[in-house]
Amino acid sequence: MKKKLMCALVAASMAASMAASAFGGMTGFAGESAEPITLSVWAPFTGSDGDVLREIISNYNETNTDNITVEIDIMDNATLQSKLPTAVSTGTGPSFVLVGIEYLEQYAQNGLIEDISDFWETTGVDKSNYYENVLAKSYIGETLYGVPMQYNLQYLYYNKDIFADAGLDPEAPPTTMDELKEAAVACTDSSKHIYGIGLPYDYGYYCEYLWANGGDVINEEGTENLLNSQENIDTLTWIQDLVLNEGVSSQGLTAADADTMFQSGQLAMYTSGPWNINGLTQLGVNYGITAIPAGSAGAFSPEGGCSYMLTKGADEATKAAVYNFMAFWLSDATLKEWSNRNGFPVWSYSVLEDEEIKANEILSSVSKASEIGRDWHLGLAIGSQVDNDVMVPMMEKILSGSDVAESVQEASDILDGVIAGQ
Amino acid sequence: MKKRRVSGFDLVGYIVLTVMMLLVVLPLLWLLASSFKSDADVIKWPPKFFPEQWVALQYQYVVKTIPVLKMLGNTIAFAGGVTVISLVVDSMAAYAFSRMQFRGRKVLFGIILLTMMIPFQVIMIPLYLEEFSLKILNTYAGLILPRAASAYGIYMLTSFFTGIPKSLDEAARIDGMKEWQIYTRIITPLAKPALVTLGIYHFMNNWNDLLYPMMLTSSSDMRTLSAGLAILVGTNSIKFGPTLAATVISIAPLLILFLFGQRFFMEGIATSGMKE
Amino acid sequence: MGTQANVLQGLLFTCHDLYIQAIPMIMGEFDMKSMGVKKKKSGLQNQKLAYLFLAPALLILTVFVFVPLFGAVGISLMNIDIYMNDISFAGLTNYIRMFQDSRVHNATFNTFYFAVLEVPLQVLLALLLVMFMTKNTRFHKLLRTTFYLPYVCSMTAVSIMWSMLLNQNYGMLPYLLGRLGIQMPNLLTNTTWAMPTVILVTVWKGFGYTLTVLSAAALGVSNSLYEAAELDGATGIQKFLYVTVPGIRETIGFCTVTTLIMALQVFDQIYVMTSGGPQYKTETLVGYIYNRGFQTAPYDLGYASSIAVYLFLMIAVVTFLLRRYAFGQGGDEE
Repeated sequence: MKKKLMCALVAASMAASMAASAFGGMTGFAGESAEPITLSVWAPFTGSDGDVLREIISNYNETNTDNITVEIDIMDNATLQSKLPTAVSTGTGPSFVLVGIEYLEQYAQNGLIEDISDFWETTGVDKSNYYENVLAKSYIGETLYGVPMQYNLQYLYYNKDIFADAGLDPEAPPTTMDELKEAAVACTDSSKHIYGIGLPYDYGYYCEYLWANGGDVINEEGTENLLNSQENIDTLTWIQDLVLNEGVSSQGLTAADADTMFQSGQLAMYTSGPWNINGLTQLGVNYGITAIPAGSAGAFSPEGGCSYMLTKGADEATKAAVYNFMAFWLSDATLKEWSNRNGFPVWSYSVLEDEEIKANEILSSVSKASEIGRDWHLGLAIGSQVDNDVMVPMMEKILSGSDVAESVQEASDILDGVIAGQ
Repeated sequence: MKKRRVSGFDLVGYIVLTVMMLLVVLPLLWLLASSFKSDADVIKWPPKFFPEQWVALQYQYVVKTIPVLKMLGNTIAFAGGVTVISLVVDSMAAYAFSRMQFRGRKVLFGIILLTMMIPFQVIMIPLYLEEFSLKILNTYAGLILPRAASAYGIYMLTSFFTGIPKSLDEAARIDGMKEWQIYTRIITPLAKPALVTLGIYHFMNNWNDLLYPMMLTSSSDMRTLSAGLAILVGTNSIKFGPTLAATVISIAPLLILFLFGQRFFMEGIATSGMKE
Repeated sequence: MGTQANVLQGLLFTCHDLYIQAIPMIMGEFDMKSMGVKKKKSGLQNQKLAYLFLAPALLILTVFVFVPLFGAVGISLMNIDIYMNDISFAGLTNYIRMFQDSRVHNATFNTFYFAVLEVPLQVLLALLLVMFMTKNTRFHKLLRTTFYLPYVCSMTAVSIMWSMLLNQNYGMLPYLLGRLGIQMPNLLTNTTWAMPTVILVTVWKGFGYTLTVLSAAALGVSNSLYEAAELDGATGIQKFLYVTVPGIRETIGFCTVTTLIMALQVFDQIYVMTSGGPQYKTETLVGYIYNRGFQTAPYDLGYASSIAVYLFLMIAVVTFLLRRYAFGQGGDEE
C-alpha cells in the first residue's frame, strides 16, 4: 500500500514538474509582452474583512497593466488546511495562499512554500518602510517565506453607551486588570441581560492574562513547560472568580457568542482581534478600542497576522505575477484602504503619515494599542496542539468550576507530553 | 363503547401530530422570517420572531458575494448526475441481489454494505490522490463517479424488489422474457415509488453535501451551492444574517422541487402496496 | 459547464443502454436455449448474467471506496503526517497507541452514547407517527410533506439554526422559557446537556425520512388484515402493534440498520454546534479522527487512519450483530 501511495505521489510530482516545465518553456519566450496569466489564491477570510479583500482584488484585476487576474477562493480555515498539503504535493494547489503566520514555519519545513528572499530586490519595494517586527514574522532565519498582508494583536473593546449608563467615563477605559474588574462589575446588569465582560471558554488568547501577572504557557523555543506556576494559578483563580462568583460574564459563553453579544450591546467589554471592527462600525455600535490592560507584570498582547505565501512548484511566470500582486498589496494605497476600512493597525511608515489615516479615530486607538505585542506559542510547530489539547480544555474546566490548581496541574501534564512528543 | 375508544385514540393522534407539526414548522418559519431581518435585528435581545422591518439586505449581500447562479448550475449538474446514474447502477445491482441466484451473493452483499461504514473524512486524502492520478480532479466526472453507486441505494432497492411478488417475473419468464427485459419492463416500473424515494434521497444528500465537493474541487468555478455558501460561516466570525439568507437560498430550490414533485412522490408511496 | 454536464450524462446514459442491450448479446448462448434447459447449465449462465448486472456497482465501489480504504489502512501502518514527508513504516505502533489514548475511549463512549439514544428515538418517533398516520387523507398527506421538510435542509443549516434558537444570549427558546419562568442552562455548552441536545436536533432533522420510508411500507400492508383485525375488535394501538408492525418489520430493520450506520459516523452537526466540546463531552470518533488528522499539529494522518480502521471494524461488527440477531434475516434475504 505504501508503494501504491508512493506511486501516486511520484506520478503526481512528475506530472506537476512536467506541467511546470512545459508552462515555463512557453512563457519563457513571452518575456515582457504580458501574456495573460491567472493566479489562484486560497484564503480563510470568511468574515466581513473578506468582503473588503475581494473588492481590493477585483480592483487589482481591473487596473493592473500586466494582464494578471487573481482568482480568490475563500474557504473555512479547517478545510483549507486539510486540503492544501495534498493539493500542493499533486501540483493542483493554488498559485499562492494567504494564511495565518502561525502556519509559515511548518509550511516551509514541509516544502509547501517557496523561498522568496529575492522579493525585495526583484520588485524594488523598500523593505525599510515596514515595521521590522511585522516583517520578521515572515522570515525563518535569513530566508523570506511570505509577504505580510496584515498584522494584529488582541484588543479590549468596550461599549461606550454601557459605560456611560453605569456611571463610568466612556473615554477612560480600564488600563489595569483591577480597573477591568471594577468596570466589569459596575456594568453588569442581569435584569437587562447586560454583562460586564466576555470570558468565553474557547477563547484562544488567555495567555494575555497570564502574561499580565508574570506567568506564561511555554518558553519561546517551545521546549520548556511554564504553565504550572503560582502566578498562573492566581490569575486563573481571578478569572474563575469573575465568571462564577461575580457573575460578570455569561456562563458557558463561546467566543462567537461574545462577538455577537458585543454587537447587540449586551456586553460592556471583551477582548478580540481587529477583524470585528468593520462589522461593529456597520452595525453602528458606539464602541472604543484600547490596549489589553496591565497586570502586576505589565501589559502584553499576543501578536498575529497573515502573510501571502508562494506555493511550491511555481514557475517563473507565476512567481513574477505573484510578486506583482504582493508588491501591489504593499503599496500605500492598498495598505491604507485595508486599514482604513477594516481597522487593522498600520505597519507601514509612509501610510502612517497619511492625513486620512491620522484622522481615523478607531485606527489611531488601534495603532496605539498595538505597541504591546508579544510572540506566543501559536507560532510554534506544536502551537495548535498546545491550544487544542492544553489551553482550551483547561479553560473549559476552570470556567465551569473545576479546582484551578488541579486543572492547571492536569493541563501541565498534558503539555509535558506535547513537548516530549515533538 | 367501541366508538369512544377509537375516537380517544384519534384524539391523542391529532394532538401528537399537531404538536410535532408545530415543532417542525415553527423553527423553519423563524428561519424564513429571520432571513429578512437586518444584522442588528437578528441578534437583538430580547429576540423577536418577526423582523421589525422586512429587508432583503441579507439576500442582496449573498448574491453579491457568491456567484449563486453558477453554483446552482454546478449543484444541479452534480446532484442530478449522481441521482440519475446512481439510480440505474443501484437498481441493476439490486435486481441481481433480489432476483438472481449466484455464488457469493451473501458475501458480495455484505461487502457492499461495508462501503456504507466508511466515513468520508477517512478516505478523502487517498481519494484525492486517486482522482488526481485518474486526471478527473476538479471535473464533473470526478464529483459524480465516486457517488455513482451507493450501498444505501442497493440495500434499499434490494429490500424493495424482494417485496415484489415473484410470480410476476416467473410469468414473464415463461412468456420468454429475458432477465434484462424483466428488469426494465417489469421490476423497474413497479418499483417507481422506491426509485423516486431513493432519487430524492440521493439528490438531497448530494445537494447538501459540504466537505465532499469542497475537497474534490479546487476552484470556486466548480463549487456547489452548499459548499459555496459555507464561505459565510467562518471560524473567526459567523455572519448570522447572510447565513440565514444563504440557508434559505440553498433550501429553496429543493423545496420547490419537492413540492412540485410531491404529488407524484406521495402517490407513488400510496400505490406501493403490492405485498402478497 | 451545463452543456458539459449534459454531454456527460448523455454519454453515461448511452453507455448504460448499450450495456443493457449488450447483455443478451454476451449471453447469446443463453438466448438460444429454450427455458427448459438443464438446470445446471442455466444456473451457470444466470450466474454470469448476475455478475454483469452487478459489475457497474462493484466497479465503482471498488475504485472509489475500497481502493481509498486500502490506502487508509496502509496509511494507518505508517508514520506519516499530512505533509507526507519522512514516511516510515510504523507497524502496529499507531494501533497500540490508540488503545492507550483516553480520548479514543472517550470518543468511543460518546459515539455509542449518541447512537444508542439517537437511533431508537428516531425510529420510534417515526413509528409512533406512522401509527397515527395510516390513512391517506389530506391532513395526513400534508403532515407527510411537513415532516419531510427538515430532511430537505442540510445538516449544517439545521445545526446553525438550532444553535441560534437555543443560544442563551440571543436565542428565541431560552427567552420564551425565561418569560414562563423556566431558566434553562446554555444547552450546547453544558457538559450534561450538550450531547442530548445534539441528539434531539439530529432526530428533528432525520425522523421525517424514516417516517416516509416506514409509511410507504405501512400503506403497503394489505387492507384485508386491518379489516380482519377490526372485526376482532382491535383498537388503534392493537391494530398497529399486531398488524402494522409485523407487516413492516423488514423495513423497520432496514431503517434501524442504516440509521445506526450513519449515527456511528456522526460528525457534521457536532462540528457546527459544539466542535466536540465542552470538555470533549461531544467528541465522537469521526470528530477525533478529523481533529488528529487535520486540525491539530502534528497532523498525524497515520494515527488518524488507525482510529478510522478501528471505527470501521466496530461499525461492521455492530451492524452484523444487529442484522443477525435483532432483525433475523436482513433485507437481502428472501
